[in-house]
Amino acid sequence: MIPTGTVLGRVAAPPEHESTSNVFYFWVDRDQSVERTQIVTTISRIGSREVRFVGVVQEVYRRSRQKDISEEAARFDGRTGNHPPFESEGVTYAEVAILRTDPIAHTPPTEESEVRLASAHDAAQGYGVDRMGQPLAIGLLRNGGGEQFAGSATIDLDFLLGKNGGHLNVNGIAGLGTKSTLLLILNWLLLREVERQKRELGISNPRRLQLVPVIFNVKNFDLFFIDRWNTEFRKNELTARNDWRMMGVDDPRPFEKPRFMAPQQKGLTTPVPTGGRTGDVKPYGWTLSDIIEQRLFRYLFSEDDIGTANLGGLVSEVEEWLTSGTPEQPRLRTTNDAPQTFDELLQWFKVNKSDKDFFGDFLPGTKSSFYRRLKYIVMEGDGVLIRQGSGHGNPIIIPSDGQTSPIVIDLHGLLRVPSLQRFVVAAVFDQIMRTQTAKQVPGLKYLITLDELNRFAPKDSTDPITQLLELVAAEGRSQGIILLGAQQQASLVKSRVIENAAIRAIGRSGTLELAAEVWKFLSGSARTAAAQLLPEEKLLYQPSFREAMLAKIPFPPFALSENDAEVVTDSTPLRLARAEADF
Amino acid sequence: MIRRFLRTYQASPVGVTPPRPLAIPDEDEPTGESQYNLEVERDLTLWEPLILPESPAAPGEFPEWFVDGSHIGQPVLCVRAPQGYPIPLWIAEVGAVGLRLQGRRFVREFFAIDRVLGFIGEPFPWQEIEEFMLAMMSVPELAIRVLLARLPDSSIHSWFDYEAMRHQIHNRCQNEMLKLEVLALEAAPNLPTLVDGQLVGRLGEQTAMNRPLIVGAVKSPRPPAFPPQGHTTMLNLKAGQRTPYYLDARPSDVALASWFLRLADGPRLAPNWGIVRIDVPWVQLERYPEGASRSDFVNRLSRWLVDARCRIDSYARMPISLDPIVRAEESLKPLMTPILVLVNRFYRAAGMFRGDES
Repeated sequence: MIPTGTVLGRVAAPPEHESTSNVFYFWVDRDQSVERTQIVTTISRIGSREVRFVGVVQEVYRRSRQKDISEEAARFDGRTGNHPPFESEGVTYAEVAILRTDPIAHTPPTEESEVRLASAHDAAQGYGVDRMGQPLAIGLLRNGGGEQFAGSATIDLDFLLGKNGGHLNVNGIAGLGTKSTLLLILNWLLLREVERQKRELGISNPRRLQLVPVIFNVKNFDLFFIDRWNTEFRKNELTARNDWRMMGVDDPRPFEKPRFMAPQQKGLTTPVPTGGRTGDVKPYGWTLSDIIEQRLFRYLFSEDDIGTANLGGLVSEVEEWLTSGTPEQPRLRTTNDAPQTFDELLQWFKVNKSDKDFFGDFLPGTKSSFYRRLKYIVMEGDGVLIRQGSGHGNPIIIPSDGQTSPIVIDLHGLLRVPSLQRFVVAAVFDQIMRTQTAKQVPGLKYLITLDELNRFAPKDSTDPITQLLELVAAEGRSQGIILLGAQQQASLVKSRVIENAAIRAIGRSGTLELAAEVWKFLSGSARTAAAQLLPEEKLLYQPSFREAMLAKIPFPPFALSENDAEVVTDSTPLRLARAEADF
Repeated sequence: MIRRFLRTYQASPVGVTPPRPLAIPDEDEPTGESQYNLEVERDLTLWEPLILPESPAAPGEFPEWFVDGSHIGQPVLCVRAPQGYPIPLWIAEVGAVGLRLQGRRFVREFFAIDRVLGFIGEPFPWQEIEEFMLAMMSVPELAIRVLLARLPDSSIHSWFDYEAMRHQIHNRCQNEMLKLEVLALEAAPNLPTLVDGQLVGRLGEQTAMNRPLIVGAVKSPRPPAFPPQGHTTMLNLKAGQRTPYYLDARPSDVALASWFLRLADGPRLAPNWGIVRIDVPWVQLERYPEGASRSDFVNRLSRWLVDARCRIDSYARMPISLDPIVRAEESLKPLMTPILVLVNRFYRAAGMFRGDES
């Protein structure tokens, strides 16, 4: 561990390595080691003032004294067994991206200035924590390799929750489970912040933060165990808790009393089996009446279905015909023998579609197309779309006031019908958008966690669901709707959804993906780093950062799969109390 | 004062001139009667290239302290003496460095740099010279020391020969560098030492007797006054071979054991390319019993030097250079001010820039 303040080297600016207002180089003292991602500082006298620079090491280079490979070989006379009498004694030097200058100066440091390893305070200044409106530590700031940190990795909630920007997007390859970790930890930390504000500002303060966290579960029933301790966390509790404590959190623990919802089983009023989570999972499903009242009819059809004006037009007309009541309070039509269930809707359309006056503006082929698609979604979606139920089913109702724990909505149970998964997501977003458009509660934020964005807003799609997500990405922040999105390849997601995320987190990603246009905002060094990140590492970027920040995300205390979930026994609470006391 | 002096003596800018044939005996090679004893190791008739065995040098038999000097300068102005002959002003930085071998690495433990302005002061009134010297020292951005050289021997050179004057001043500055090298040498009196260049002029017999091994490596030795057999042997050397050592007892402050050593093969620019002369004070060789053990020591030292040769192809003088000396050079040069910066500062002080004349 190198003590902070240690002199690592001195600024150098020879030809081909000239310093600029963005980048400078320094040679490394032969007794010191410098690593990529270390935060460094240097002070230069420029004109009549002293300017302090904080930067992050982008890359470390080693140069021998030889001019070419032949000279390298010649030192050994071309034989590896030979040992020259003297060491080659090359030089190590590093490239530093400037994060901040104090006072503000668009100028490089001067050569020969001492370069020192930054302290946590320096690093915080470098990333502008002192200028953040609402700083939130979400990890530990790496200061080189190993376990050396320069304090907390801090983001500004003003960029996340809508004041200066909104949304967070995380990218990373599959299998490391780290995207969910980050998003869930963020949920946990924000709920903790809610509690803090409640305590400190008072429950009646209208400016305090309130959250409605909605988490979509897309893989297995992994997120149905976030209220249980993570067994891996318990195994390495000292280390894990130490990381949390370093970022200012003394009490990491699982979520308290989250609510779980899963698709309703076909023909039943219970949810699909959800593994080890039983009993407290509520089913969700929509009757035709729910669909019309919540204006979700068009979301039943994907882009392929209503990509053409003909079919799209017919969908709209059918929805309009089925709807009565006022525009503010639509109702399922009950007159004119209007169908009251999905089954009746299918039957009604099947019987009448041959009639020339039945939606007469549309050709028989279009009507047949509509019928086939409706039949497919209703039959495949049986359960979530309650075929025979009239009146109201169990539609997902998102609360309109602040919550103390997340609502976890399962999509994995709809794995076989991707279009239905998209429908559920759209239904939730649409509902929240309508709620917030109608009336906004100050300080209330809907925090929606959604993985696999490429499925819900694919790059080349223009269907209503994609459009809805684009709308959320573009305008949601001003309506208090914050998307915590994730995907393996941002290049496959609608660019508007990605680009509107003010905070970007990059986990280990494929090199092909990192070469895509969407990653051009990252420096070459950051892209290289992103391809080599450890599972617990993330590169964090927000508009106020001049360079991405490399953070270690602490190990989650809550289970992120059933396998990780600690089994609750009668003695568990006592044991946990002892463990915490020991710590 | 500076400008007044220069104006009075009609100073005009001059620059680097192409080298001309030596006007004065170069370097400080001892002159005088030839006093070589070429038969201290073997009869001259038996001289032939000697192959170096692989025996390693023992501690104390190879250098651990390396001394190199540097002299970077050029003429900047030419004044006219009251008698009319041209006298160049030579601006330079001279320096010396001492590197210590620690394990297989080098550490710079000594360096000294001096900034000098050389010229010949004899023809000028002393009071003016003194004022000029003081004024030059007082220019903050220059802080340069005036170094006075003597007029060349008028029986050999006309004082109106600009080149002879230039050479005289250059040599004066070169001597200043040698003084710094002596300081570098004295900075590590207890370490076996290698000096870049000849030993003559750097130490005396008494010093040589009292200190550990000291070796001089002369890269461009003047052809010695050898009989043909000696020259033939020298030219026949292959890489890693040496001539027999001989006693060089020419009049100087120290008698030397010297031999020629070819450090490297490779493309030969001349028949003697790659050959260096190695000097060791004779009194130090005498620490070994006469006969085979002296030859063995010379062999071991030569082997160490061959191993320590520079192997950087891109270095112009690679075949005649030793790696530690190249390192010393590299360690000293960056400490010196670029000569053009010095020249410009001098011109500014001298009022030679347009618009700055007063």
